[in-house]
Formats: sequence, structure tokens, C-alpha cells
Amino acid sequence: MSEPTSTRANGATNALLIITVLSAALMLVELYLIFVFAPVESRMGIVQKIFYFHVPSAYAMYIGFGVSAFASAMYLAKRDERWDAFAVAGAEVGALFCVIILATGPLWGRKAWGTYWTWDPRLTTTLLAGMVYFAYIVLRSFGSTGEVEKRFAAGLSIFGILDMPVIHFSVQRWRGTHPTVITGKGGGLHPDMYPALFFGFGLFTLLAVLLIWQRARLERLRQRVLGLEVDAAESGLMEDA
Amino acid sequence: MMLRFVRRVVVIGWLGVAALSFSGHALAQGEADGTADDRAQSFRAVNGGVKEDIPGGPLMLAAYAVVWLVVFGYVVRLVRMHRGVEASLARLERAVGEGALQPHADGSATQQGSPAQHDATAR
Repeated sequence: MSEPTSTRANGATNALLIITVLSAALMLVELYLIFVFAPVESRMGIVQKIFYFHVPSAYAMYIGFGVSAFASAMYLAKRDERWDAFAVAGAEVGALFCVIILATGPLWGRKAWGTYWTWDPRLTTTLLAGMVYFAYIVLRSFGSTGEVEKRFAAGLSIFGILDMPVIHFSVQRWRGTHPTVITGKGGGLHPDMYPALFFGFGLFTLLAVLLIWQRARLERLRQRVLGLEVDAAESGLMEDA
Repeated sequence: MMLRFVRRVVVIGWLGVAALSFSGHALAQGEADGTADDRAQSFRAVNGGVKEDIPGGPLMLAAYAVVWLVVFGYVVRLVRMHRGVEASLARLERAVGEGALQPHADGSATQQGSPAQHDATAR
């Protein structure tokens, strides 16, 4: 093991540890801000507190899918396995936060709209993004080592990112039922609600970075082990590889 | 095994979304009034006691439970994947170790790099 490699690995592990500790600390602050500092909303009541996790989850989803699409484009350009690892990690973490959005949104909608689901433009386009990236994950689970599958999946990830601006601007361009509280059209939040929201953005950004980084490292390790298994099988060291 | 789990999750997700959409669509159609617009564009603090017709507490608890469960489930998945990679690595180490002990026809031993070195460089 060379010294620079060891130093780099230790540095990455320390950075991950720092982000993990920071995320945990921010989580406690965020819970305090949500449940103690931020006031209860006058018309929706306590269910409005879903907002402080729901909206930052949407931004974390953008980060995950953005990383996946960018890394996919880099993989198609350079054919470097490291980019492929980040593409897989971004898609999985983006899909994770997409699940959170699609689960918490309807629970809020039950109270605010009287229904769990409606085919509002933002809800529909978010569901579409989730389906595209779940298709990516399913495709990768079919054959993660094949070059053709990787290239096709990369194309799918780049295609999926085209939906992100549509999601983001759908509430401004098309009249729907989704709230527009923090967009230019909306009336805004009570001043005491902003700290919980902004801390939420910071927390979920850190969480997304942490999970993407950890998943990419794991994927990279898995790629190396798969490569070694193939080498060992070709050398006759492993019969069952 | 993993593929079956992913397929099951996708199918259950689809069925859930379809059921929710059909059950709530009619209710959503009749609710386009000024109050809904106002509610969609600003959040205000409550004055006095909280009165709710649909109890929001269980809905909020369910939402937070979903967030924790989903994130925790993903972390568990990462841990299981990590164990799988470690098992593969151990299998490789055994195979390479056994191969290194077997002498070649010319009398030399097989020279292979330790998988642990590859493990470190992968980071």
C-alpha cells in the first residue's frame, strides 16, 4: 500500500466522519427549530411541519439526480469507472429522496387538499422523474458489469435530468394545486418559519453528499472486487468466479 | 434476490399510487376556490388555540416516520452491500493464498497482489 493512497483514504474517511457528526448535530438543531421554534400554521395546523422535511428533500433529490446525470455524461465521455460509481450513487440517493417527497407530500395533501393524490403538474412530473431513475436502478441491477448496460443507463440518467427544470418551474408555468409559498409568486412564510426551512436545506444537502459519497465509495470497491474476481478466474485461482 | 426485491417494490409502488389517485381524484376536483389559492401561496402563524377538522398529528407522525425509515433502510442496505463486498474479498484472499502456495512447474510460486491492496486503492 503506497503512503499517498493510504493518506488519501484516511483523509476521505475523516471527512466522511466529520460530515456524519455534523449531520447528526444539525438534525438535532433542525428538530428543535421545527417543533419548538417554528409556530404552528394557522389553517393547516401541525401537519404543515411536514414542509420542513419535504421541501429540503426535493432539493436533495435535485442534487442526487444532478450528480447522476453529470457523472453519466462524464462516463460516456471518458469511460472512467469512477464516474460510473458516482452515477449509480447519485441515482440511488436521488431516488431515495424522491420516495420521501412522494410519501410525505400526499400525507400533507390529505389535510390541505382533502385527498392524498391529485394529478397536479408538479406531482406528476416528480412521479415521472422517480420512475425514470427507478428504471435506471432496475436496469443496473439486471447487469451492472456490462458496458452496454452502463452506457444505456447513463443515457437514461441524462434523459431523466431534463425533467428537473420541468418539476421546478411547473408551479409557476402551469396552474396547479401545489403550494407556491417560497417561489416569487407566493406570499412567503411567517418570519419564524424561515430558520427551520434554511437549516433543513443545509441538513439535507449534507445528508445527500454523505450518502452519495459513501455509496460511490462502496460502488468503486465493488467494481474493484469484481475486476479482481475476473482476474483470479482467468488465472485459474477461482473456479466459481 | 435483489432483483426480485426491486421488482416487488416497483409493483407495490405503482399499485399504491394508482389506488391513491383514484380514491382522491373526485375530492380534488371540487376544491378550486379562493381559500385554496390563498392557502397555496402563504403560510401564517396560528393565533390562539389550534382547531383541526382532520387530525394532522397522525399524518405528521406518519410523514416523519417515513423519512426516518427510508433513510435508515438505505443505510442498512449500504451496510449489507459492504458485508457482501467484504465476503467477496475474503473469498478472493483465500483463493489467492491457496494459489500462491501451489508451486508452478518451474518450481516458482504464484505471485499475486493482495486484494487488500486493491481495497485500499479503491478508496
